Amino acid sequence: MRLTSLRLDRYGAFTGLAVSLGPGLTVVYGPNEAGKSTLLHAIGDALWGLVPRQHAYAFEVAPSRLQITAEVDGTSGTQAVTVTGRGWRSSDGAPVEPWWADGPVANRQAWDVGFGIDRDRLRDGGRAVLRDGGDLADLLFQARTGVDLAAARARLVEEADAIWKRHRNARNVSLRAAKERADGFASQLVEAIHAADAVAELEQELRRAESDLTAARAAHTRAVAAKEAAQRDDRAYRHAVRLAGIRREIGDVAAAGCVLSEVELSRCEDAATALEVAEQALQGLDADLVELDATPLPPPDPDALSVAELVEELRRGDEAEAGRGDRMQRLHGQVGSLLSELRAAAAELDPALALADEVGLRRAAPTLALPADTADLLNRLAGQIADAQRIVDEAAGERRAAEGELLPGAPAGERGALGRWEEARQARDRAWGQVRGPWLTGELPEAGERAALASGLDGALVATDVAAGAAAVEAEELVEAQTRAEERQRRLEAARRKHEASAEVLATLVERWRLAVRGCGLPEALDAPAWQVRWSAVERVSELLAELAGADAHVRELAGESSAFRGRVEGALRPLGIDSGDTLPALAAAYERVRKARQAEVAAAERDRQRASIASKQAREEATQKQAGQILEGLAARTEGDLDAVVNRSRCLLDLRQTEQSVLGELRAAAPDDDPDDLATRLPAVTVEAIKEAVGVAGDDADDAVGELEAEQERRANLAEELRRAKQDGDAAALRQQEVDALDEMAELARRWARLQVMAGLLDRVARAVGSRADASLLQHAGSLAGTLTGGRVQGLSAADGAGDTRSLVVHLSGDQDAEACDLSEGTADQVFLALRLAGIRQRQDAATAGGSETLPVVLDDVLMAHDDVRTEAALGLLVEEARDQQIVLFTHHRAVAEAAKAVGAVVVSLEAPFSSGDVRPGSGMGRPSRLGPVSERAQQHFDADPAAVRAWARQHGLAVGDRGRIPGEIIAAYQARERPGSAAGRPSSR
Amino acid sequence: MSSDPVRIVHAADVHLDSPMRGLGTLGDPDLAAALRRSTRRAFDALVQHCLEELPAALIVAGDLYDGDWKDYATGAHFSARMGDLTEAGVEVIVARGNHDAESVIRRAVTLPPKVHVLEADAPETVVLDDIGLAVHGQSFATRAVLANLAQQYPDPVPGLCNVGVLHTSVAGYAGHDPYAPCDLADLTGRGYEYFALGHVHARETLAAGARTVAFSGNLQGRHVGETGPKGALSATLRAGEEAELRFVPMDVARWEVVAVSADGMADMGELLPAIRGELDEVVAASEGRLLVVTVEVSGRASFACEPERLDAEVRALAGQREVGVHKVAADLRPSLDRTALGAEQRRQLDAAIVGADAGELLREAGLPALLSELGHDYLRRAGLDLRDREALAYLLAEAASELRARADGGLL
Repeated sequence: MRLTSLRLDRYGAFTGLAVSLGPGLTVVYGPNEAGKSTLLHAIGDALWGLVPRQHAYAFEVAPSRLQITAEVDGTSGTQAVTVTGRGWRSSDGAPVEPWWADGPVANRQAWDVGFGIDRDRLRDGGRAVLRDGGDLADLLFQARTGVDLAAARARLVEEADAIWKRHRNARNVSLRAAKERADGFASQLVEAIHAADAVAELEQELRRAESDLTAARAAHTRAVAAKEAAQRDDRAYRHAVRLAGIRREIGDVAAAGCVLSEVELSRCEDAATALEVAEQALQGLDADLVELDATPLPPPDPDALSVAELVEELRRGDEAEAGRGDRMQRLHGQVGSLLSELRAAAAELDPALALADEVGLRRAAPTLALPADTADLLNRLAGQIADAQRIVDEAAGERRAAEGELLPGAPAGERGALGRWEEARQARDRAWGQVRGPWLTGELPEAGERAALASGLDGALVATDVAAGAAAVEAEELVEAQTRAEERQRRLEAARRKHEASAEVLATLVERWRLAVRGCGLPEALDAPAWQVRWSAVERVSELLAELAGADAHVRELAGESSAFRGRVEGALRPLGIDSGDTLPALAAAYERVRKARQAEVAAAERDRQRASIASKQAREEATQKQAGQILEGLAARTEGDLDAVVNRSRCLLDLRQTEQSVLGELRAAAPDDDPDDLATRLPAVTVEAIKEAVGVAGDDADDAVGELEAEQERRANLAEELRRAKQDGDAAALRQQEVDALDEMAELARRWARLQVMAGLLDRVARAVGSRADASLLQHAGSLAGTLTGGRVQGLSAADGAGDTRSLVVHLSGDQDAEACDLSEGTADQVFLALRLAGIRQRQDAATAGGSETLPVVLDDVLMAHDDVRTEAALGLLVEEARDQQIVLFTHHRAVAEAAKAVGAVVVSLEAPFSSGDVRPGSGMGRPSRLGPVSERAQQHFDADPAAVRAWARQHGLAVGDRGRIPGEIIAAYQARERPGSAAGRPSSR
Repeated sequence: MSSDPVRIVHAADVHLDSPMRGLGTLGDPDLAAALRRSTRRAFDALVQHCLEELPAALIVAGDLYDGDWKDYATGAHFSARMGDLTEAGVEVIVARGNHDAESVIRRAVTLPPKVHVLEADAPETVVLDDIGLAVHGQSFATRAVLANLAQQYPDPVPGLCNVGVLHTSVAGYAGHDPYAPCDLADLTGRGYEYFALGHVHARETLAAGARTVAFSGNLQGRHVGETGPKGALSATLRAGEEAELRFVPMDVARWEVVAVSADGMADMGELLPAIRGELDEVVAASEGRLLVVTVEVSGRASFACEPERLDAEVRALAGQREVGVHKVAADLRPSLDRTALGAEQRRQLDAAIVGADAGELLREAGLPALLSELGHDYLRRAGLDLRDREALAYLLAEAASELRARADGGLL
């Protein structure tokens, strides 16, 4: 079968890339990244099904949407098939069974190995030729199947070696590691297993340990108690020794003689102290008395004291007296200035008074005043005159104003308006006449003239109306002007009458004024305004006179008071013999004397009080002295006179007992739990060194006991833990399981190793079995192909007996040379391998055809990389021939190959690079083709010979060829080579 | 003769706390962890059953523990659970087998008074008059007791139900060490109503009728070879009458083989549903127990099976059902003309396989060195005997199967 076209509907980076493949050889050319691999994979998917799961080309669309459409040309015709993850379907959606899958191989992997040759396989194959040429079996097996048995066997052995290898130093093989793990678990298990008898032993041991622990606890308690007792002794020692000493002293003192009780001692001491204090106090009081008497008192002044109260009262009045003097001085000044004013005012009325003396002035001034009613009359008249004069002035003003309005007159309006009205009427009548004439005669003027006449008449009528209006207005204005003039005239008349009337009133008043002035004896020339000036001077004089009278009265009052004061002072000072001439200083001197007399009186009283106080104190101290003396005498009588010694002894004993109590307190604090009396008797008997030593020993003992206790506790805890672990459930069983797991793993690995080795051994047997016979026809065909591929360098292949029962490959080279495969160059070896594979594939395709199955497409990926131009062309020619009855698709990225393929008539499919070399986008992570030019080019078939001629040639040379259908490639090759010098012409294969 | 029926529970081969085999191949640490303590959990199930059903006696026919297993915790657990039973009034009679013959557990663990361990020196009869039961039996003194102990067993006690207890390999039972060998006739000839046997891990009733003889099988399958339900036999006995046997499953985990024939199948699309169906059946039968399966696919299919893919598909199916997979084995033989090698080369391969000797191939590959390094016995303990003819034959078959699969699939 053939794939005649392929469309990548949704596949890889492509949507709709369509590629037409030739029936024979198709060369797919494209640079890197152009999509060759995609296309190659798509061919596989189209043939063997598209498995969506983790599909390598599902990066643009979801795997389930991947789709290819292929046109399949098979023995039963041509069919378009859509391939998706759900299988193959025809164009009408019906499921299609991939009938070609019943062919030589059943799955993709097998097809890929059997019918695909890529560059790596070619290189490996070339090496296999160099290696296995000596063992033809492997090589032929590989030629037919694509499977390199030796390599497969090597892979199995390699896999087995990873599990286990004989050499001991290969430590990282997994079986050895598993064994180590199992051993590790086994040894851990020995540790972890706790046998039952071990548990019993542990339990017994634990019981012993617990008993030991109890003993250690008791020992520890004892040691600690001893240590604490020793420490208490140590602390108490100093105090106990001191207590014992004090108690000894107390005994000594008590034995020395009589002692006082504490109360007696206290009374005795208090009395002695009181006696001493009283004596000292009395001495002090005597001294105070002496000191008091030594200080003199001021002499008494009975005279002063007799007037003391009066003087003090007067003294309080001396400021008032001083004030009176000041006020009288100020009043004298005031009187002076009043007189001056009076003189000035009076002079206004009577200039003669300006030079009058005070007495004259005082006498004359009151005469200047007028009787009150006279003054009132004058004042009233003067006021009326002033009012009348003002009315006269106003009337005169009004009259002047009225005269002013009247005099200029109203300008008489022009009589123009009436005149113009008359003129207008005349013009109207003229115009009317002009019209009426022709109208009455019936002599109608020309139309133009008629219009002018009408217009003229209209104008005259309008002008007449206007002039009549203006004349009417003018008439009204004249009437108004007349009315106004008459009104003014009336007003002027009224003003004049008013002026004249008021002037008469004024004259009357002035006359009465004259009569009044005369009646008052005032100068007749005195007019009303002058009167008003004179009247104010009179009033001023009256005021000043009143003020002056007040001031005089005040002066008289003050003088009286002052005189009285002086009289009292004089009376008061008289007994003191002080001259009261100058009243106030004399009063001050008297007052000073009175003050001193008072002080002397107070000092004498104070001295009397002090004396009384001292006397009282003396009496008190003397009583105390007496009482203390009695007490001491009493005690002295009781102690037979040796009171001081007894008191001293008693005091000493008392102090000792206090000290004893204090030391006892310290001792109790140092050893609270011990009996102090016991300590005081026991401890002084031993030395301090002995005590210190006992502390040290007890401390060491206690430390030892602690250590032992801890050791026992730890031992018990350890045993308990060990026992707990021994009884614990799980660890050991789990470890045992792990050991078994490891053992299982080990066994599994060993089993795997064994199986791989058996498989390797079986492959070895296969190779040996296959090698027992060589396939002459395959070798012959391959030799022919190799001849073409090597440009005639290789002329044929054959088998020769090798070592043992093996056979080896012999290569017949040009120049009648034979070579062993291992002597070939790498390139030639590659080409021999390619020839062998192509021959092997041909065999399988033929077998399939013979069995009624389909042939399968052959895919060659970059297999001509080592061919030079000449050999490339030869190889392409050969492939064209080989592809006559099978589809061959050759992928290449060498443009030269594509060019050469065109030249030999292959179909060339050119895939463009996604980016030209100068157009590489920096930083673009896109490695996939994004654009592709689907260029399919069907070149002219190179093989242009007439098939009939070939058939005829073949029959002529005894070669089997049918009348119709495919002409075997060998025949075509032979036909083409028939004229080539040195070629295999005439020796075509006869299969 | 008629009397009140006596009900006993017969268990054997408890192998308390002994490890499971083949957990490493599960690829499922959680499942492996769950499987690990299944012998103990099965034992607990047995005790629980007895506490609920309160049979007159529990009879253990040997191999309670593995003798080389001296863990205190195991003995303490057994002792505690037995205490529960005796407190509930269930008599417990234990015979020691080859595995616990030399066990030291008994010495250090104080068993409750009612737990009766049968004497090892001579056959002993425990007569329980109030129940109407006489139990005859003898423990293994040593690991390998090769004498026919059954012949020395006493005559039945008249009027009571007589039960014999023995750890034995009846007539050299295939695949088991021939300890205390005897013939079935030796057992039926004793005249006991029931003979409770231990040692053979597969449950089997050897004789029915008035002289019933049965292996209860072990309580819990411990490796891939111990398939199917495991547990104890509950026997209802009447003097002179046929024992009524009832199997009571005690296992907490089960090993099963899922065998699928791929005959005539065209592709994986047909095979997988078939496997799924078989798998569902064993899952249903396991009634919620932990389940580990071995899947074996065989037959002549018209497609080449890729082992890795099949393995992955089967494990996925099992994973969905929370079933562990021990191994997926496929031995498919596609028609010759459709293999990657081509018919002729495929025939050459088959020819090479036929007549091959795995032992010879392995010797050439260095097997002796491997065995001497790892220790043949060590591997045998792990279940692999590379000197055993049968094991080698099996190995060859497996290797051939894999090689064919690879070759057919173009994977060589």
